[in-house]
Amino acid sequence: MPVADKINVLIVEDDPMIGFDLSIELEEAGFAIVGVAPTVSKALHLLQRHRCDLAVLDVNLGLETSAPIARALSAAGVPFVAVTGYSLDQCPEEFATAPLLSKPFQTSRLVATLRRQLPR
Amino acid sequence: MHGMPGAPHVTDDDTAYLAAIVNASADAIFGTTTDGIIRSWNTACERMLGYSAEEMIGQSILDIVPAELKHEALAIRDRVSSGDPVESFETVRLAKDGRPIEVAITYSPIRDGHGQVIGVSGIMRDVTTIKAAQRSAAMLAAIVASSSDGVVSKTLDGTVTSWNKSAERIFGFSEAEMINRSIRTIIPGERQAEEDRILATVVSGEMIDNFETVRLRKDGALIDVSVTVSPVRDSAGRIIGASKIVRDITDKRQTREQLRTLLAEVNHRSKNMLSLVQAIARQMTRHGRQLDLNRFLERLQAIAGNQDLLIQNDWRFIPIADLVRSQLGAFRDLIGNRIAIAGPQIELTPEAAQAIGMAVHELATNAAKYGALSGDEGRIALSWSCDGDDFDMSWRESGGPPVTVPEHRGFGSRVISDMVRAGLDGEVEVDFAPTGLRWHLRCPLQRLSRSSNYARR
Repeated sequence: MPVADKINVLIVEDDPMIGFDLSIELEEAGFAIVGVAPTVSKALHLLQRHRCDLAVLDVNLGLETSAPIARALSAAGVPFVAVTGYSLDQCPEEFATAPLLSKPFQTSRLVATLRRQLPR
Repeated sequence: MHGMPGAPHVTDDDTAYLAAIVNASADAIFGTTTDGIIRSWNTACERMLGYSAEEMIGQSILDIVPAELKHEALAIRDRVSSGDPVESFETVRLAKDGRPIEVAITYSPIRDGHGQVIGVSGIMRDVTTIKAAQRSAAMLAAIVASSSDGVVSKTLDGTVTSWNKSAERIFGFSEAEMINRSIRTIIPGERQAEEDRILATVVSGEMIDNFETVRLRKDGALIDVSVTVSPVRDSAGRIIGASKIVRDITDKRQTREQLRTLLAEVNHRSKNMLSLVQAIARQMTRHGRQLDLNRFLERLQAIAGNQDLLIQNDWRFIPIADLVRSQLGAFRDLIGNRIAIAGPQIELTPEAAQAIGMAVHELATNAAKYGALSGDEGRIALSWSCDGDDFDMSWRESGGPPVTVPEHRGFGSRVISDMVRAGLDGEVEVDFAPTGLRWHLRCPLQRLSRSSNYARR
């Protein structure tokens, strides 16, 4: 759940084990986890209800992509990092300007990339 | 020798002269009596059929007629004997070695000085080669006509000279519309220069092999085609035009695009799988714990089993009963007696199947180590049900050694509770009751299955 004095991160990931792992890793790195959303609707639902400072988006969510979430985040000015098994040119255009981490990646890289997105 | 028709005064010299001509003729020439006895047989006859004059003179001409054609030969003999010539009659005769030879025979009546028919002359031509050529020409024409590729020919200035059925189908222009029209009709404006290049290549005697390009249909639509163009030469070897084979490759291009999509999918899935392996390894080694390699490999095997089930169902879903049985595979022989499985059929999404599959795997492993399956008596009841929009699943062990609450929470414990809870938006209760472990999951049915809420792909 969001915490006032921490950086609140939304995780969008459809694989339950990977999402679970990411949430533990990011909590350990000092972030507060807004939630792990496996679908677009769950992510948009969480975004409406909670303060969110950063997001990690898995690009491919099985039957859908997280492009609508990327649009909502961009509109709200919330920076995000895309993680994907796709190669760069296979990603929807919504991710063109976002930093992209290719799966699998080390937590330290994700944490560093996330921190770079924060306003100084 | 008998006199030739219309040559009433014949000298011996004339006879010898005529005999020499007949003998030297490239056509096989023979003469018979009206009842078919051979009286003359020239060298060309010998060459064609293999019988010498000595062998044949005095024999019946029917000897060289196949049995099934004898009545036909008799009818012709009657006709010619009555004074009627027969021009280029196509039939079959037998060579000495029994080989049938296709021939065209011109029969003429032989008359004596009074105009009385006294015999029949035959001039026989071997038409085997011509027939074969005709047949192969007809065959080629049929192949071109029935080819699924468009086959077109054109002159060196690009005027269409032939246009088969498939060309009609591919381009929408009929043969009548295209003959004598320029091939440029089917070339889009911006590609007209291609035709200059094609013609120049053909004129130089080269062919163009499977050139993939775009052409214009009569209805204005652009189509993807592969074109092979070869020069056509006349008998003197001069290039007089070009033949063009056109294949509609719209399907091929679509297949290529599907393949590209599929490869992107494979790329995504395989990297996701590596991320999953990484997540398991990371969670198993938290707080500096050593990786238990055997347990790690067992977990990977359990996940690989899911993949087989997913493939069986076109990567869309996994039936819950199949999933459960697969994860309990190590205890297959106990299912139905010590392990009771009950619940309705539900088509799980791949993600839900992974979460439930991992939970069942961890529960079963724990039961084998410490719980109901560690002895010979214990039982497990695994059941699930749907209650409106909710899904319930429970794992109840009994009859095993007394259960104690573990001192610390390992990977398995976090999988069956935290991971499942987060991954399925559910509530999970784990009760280490002394009589046997109880695990209960309740989550929205919508999180597990698309079948009731979404149209299937």
